[in-house]
Amino acid sequence: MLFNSYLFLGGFLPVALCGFAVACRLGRRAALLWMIAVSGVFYAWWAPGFLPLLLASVAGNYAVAMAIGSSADRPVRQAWLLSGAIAADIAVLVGCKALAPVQPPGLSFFTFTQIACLLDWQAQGHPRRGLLEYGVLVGFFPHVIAGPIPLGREILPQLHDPATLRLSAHNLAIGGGIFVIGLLKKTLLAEPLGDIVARGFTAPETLTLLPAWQAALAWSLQLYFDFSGYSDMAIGLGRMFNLHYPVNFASPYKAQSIIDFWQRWHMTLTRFLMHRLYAPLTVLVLRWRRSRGWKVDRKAQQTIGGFTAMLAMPLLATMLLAGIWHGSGWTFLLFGMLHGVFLAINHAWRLFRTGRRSTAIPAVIGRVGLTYLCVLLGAVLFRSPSVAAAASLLGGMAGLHGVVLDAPTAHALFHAELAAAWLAGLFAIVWFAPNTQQIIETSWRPTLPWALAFGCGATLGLLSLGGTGEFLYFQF
Amino acid sequence: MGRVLSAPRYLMLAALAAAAAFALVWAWVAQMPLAFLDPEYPSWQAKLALLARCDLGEVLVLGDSRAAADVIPAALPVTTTNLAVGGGMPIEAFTALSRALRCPVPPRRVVISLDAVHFMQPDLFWERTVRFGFLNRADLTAVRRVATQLGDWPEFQPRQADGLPDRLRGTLYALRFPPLYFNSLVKGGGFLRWWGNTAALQAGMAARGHYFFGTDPGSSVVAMDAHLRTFRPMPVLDWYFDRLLALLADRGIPADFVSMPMNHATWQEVRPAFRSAFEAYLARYTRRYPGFHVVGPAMPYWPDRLFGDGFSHLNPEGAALFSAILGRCLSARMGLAGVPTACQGEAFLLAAGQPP
Repeated sequence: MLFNSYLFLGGFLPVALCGFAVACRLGRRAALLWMIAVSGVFYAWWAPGFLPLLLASVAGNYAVAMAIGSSADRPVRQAWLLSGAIAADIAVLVGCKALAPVQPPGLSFFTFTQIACLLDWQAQGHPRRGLLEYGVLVGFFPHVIAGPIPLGREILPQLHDPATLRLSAHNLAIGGGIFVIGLLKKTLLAEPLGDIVARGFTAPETLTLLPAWQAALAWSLQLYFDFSGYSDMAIGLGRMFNLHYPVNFASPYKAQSIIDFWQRWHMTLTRFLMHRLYAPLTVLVLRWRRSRGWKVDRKAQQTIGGFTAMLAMPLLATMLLAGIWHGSGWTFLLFGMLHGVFLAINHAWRLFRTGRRSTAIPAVIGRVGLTYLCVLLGAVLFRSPSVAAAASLLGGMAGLHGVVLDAPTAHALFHAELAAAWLAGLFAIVWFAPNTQQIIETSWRPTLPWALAFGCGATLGLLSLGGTGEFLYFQF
Repeated sequence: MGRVLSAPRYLMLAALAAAAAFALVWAWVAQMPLAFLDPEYPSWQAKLALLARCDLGEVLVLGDSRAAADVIPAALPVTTTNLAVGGGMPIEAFTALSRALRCPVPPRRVVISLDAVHFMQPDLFWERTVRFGFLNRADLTAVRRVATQLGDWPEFQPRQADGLPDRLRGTLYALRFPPLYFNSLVKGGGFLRWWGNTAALQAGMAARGHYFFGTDPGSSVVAMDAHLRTFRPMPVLDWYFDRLLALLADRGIPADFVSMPMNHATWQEVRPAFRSAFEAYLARYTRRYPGFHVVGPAMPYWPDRLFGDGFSHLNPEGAALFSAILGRCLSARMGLAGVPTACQGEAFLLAAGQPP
């Protein structure tokens, strides 16, 4: 059941909200049970065969969390429990990725949520939440399929607050607004690009300079609008149920460096990777260096060996794993490696550069442009079916397949101009328009103009449901 | 920017705005389809209008897009109406014939032309046939019932998932539910196709249902026919073809099956076994229904220069040539004039006398 489907909008969501309103009147436990029940229905609609896996994963991890909580005075037992649970989670994840012909929807997302939760609880002490709250944290329908990846400390306190478990017109209004923006991003901005992208990436060897650029640019925009639109819808839905999810996209194409980009793109995954992979790897390296009596301060980082060991290697390892997580092909491996190298270069630049960063407009444009080009390079690899196909498309972009337009009939030219104008409009949005959270936090007020705007936007979103497609990110 | 409203009031106003906007769009979609639907719609409307006013003449042409483009009624010796439609299958042919037979004067003869592929899979069923209103709700219910009984209904799912409950889709099309027409609304700029479509409707009426697809001065593109491996008719399409011929037999109306030519590039790639199977399939029906004849070869080819697009639709020069040949054949078959050999296979093989 897609968020942008008639069934979801016309059936599931109204029923879920009405039931939530009724359940909230019956008490906290009823409200939580209802949230879990509708999430179960939502998940089973996607893949009924995998619902037991989700339930077993939630129950198993919760049992370990409880055991960890009751072993506060036995750190060794705690460590074994934690290691065992994480190993089991990763084994299921890797096993499904490697062996299962059909991937359980959202497996990575609910696994990461739970690993983060276990680590948090082990480090900070068990917050004494019940299974129902934990179930909502892990499996609530807005985020269970494709994120955002919330942390326990972000969601559980909200579920403990009595104000959360009652229907709020204010949050319905805000959540509805966020949802409508996401829906429009997905259906009006991302989906129309699908044809250009599919054609371009199917036969990259036929593309001359401009069509090759068109395919690559269209893909980068489609991916952004599709995925950030989905995240907006998830966040909006959470808000309708009074839950504040973490932001997942913050105008990533406005980033002025690759480090900045990853702090704005799929932010909850980046957070997970940085905290749960990069940071532990770095700590390991630092301990290893200390054990040999080597320095670990900034000065040591500015040596070739120190930089490589303390920054570059953990970054490369993290991004390589992130790449492989997206898929098993060489393209994903190279995608991860490329971003690892970009990040390492970016860190080196920060470490070794002298002088302050210029804030002059041309310098900012240069940084944004360079960052975008790096991201585009990775995006081409990410989308291509093979390394050879990616190389072919990049070759086309470099003009190796020629620079002339194909035989320009009036019809084709008209469409080329229209497509170029469309892309230009989309770039204007990503570079100059405020993002969803900026619109909601700084501009939106419950006024008549906004009611009309979001009402008409909702209609536009509903109208555009006629041809629904799957979200690009579901396969991960 | 405006007075701050209470949240419930804000939500109510937003809902009202959404409902009002949706109602306005729905009214536009329902009342003004010519203003935005794609340029083939008026051609279909022209055929429906000719049917509605029983302005059909003596010969009816039923079939798919090649028949719609290749047979020019004005070039035929008797008043003819071309009711063939893009992506047409036996379902559309049967529907058109059923309606035509409700007219006071039935046709004297029917020409049927369907490519092999249109016996094998639904082509543009939802995108054209249902969307353009060629089938009414009763027709659609009947198709669904028969297809379900024969196990073919899953094949009728739309190519692009629309997320609609299966049973509801037909009703929503009949009601012109706006999301189903949104792509056309956007591509047609809301109203920008009005002038072109109005002109096309008039042209379609004047041409008695004929319209061109591609008009390029030649095409060597290999069409879909070449990619088919084995000829296996879909049970529901076979059922409708049988019903079509049975209906004609009941009314004593002779019918000629005339295959439209494909370009030489395509013909070269078609598997001989496929061609033989299609011929055998048609031959079975000629034995079952004495009034049904296959005229000319089952899968003829013509030189590439006479085709106007990659789907083997004849261009204006090709269509004029083909219609002239068909006209001579019809004259002979209807006892008007001409020689008896005008309908023999060689008469339709233009390429036999001209190098491809």
